[in-house]
Amino acid sequence: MKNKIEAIRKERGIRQEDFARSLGVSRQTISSLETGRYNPSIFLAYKIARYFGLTIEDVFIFEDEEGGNNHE
Amino acid sequence: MSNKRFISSIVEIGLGIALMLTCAFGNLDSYWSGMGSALIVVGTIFLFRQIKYKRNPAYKEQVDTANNDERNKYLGMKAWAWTGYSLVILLAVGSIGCRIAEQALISTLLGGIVCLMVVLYWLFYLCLSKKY
Repeated sequence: MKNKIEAIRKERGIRQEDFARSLGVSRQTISSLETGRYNPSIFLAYKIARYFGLTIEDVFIFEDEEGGNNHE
Repeated sequence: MSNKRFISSIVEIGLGIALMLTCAFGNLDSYWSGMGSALIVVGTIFLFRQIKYKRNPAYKEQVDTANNDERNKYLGMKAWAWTGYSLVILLAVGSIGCRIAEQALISTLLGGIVCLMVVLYWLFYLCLSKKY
């Protein structure tokens, strides 16, 4: 699952450390999320979207197993 | 971190000292004195961590974040799963190797452990499938 976390975070000038602290996760988790190595739970995805004041669909791009985008 | 961990650290240290003293008076062999010293070391490390956790807010935040971080939990579960898979494979290979080397007792023991692990896996799977 791809996401726009890095783009939105940088657009708003938020540091990874501050973002991680606000969400109660480690900076490594944010880094892994941004590089797409780790997919968050629905709870963390919701917290991230809420932090940005956006919906989950605005932040995360769901891709089905064939690789096509269902939502963007 | 809780007070339970603080108390268990003190119990570990006390038990370790008791084992060391018992060994010193010649009632137990070196296996127990080794276990006693290990308990003292582990108990002391956890005790110092507890004290640091209570006194240092930055360390407390770091520990709380690490404990509640979902990626850490995911990695921990994944690491345990890989450890389990590796152990089953190693034990199975060891069991076959021992059978070839005509070490029937060890081979049977290792095979038995593999069977026990498989039974435990299915048991836990059954329990978890009822829960989730």
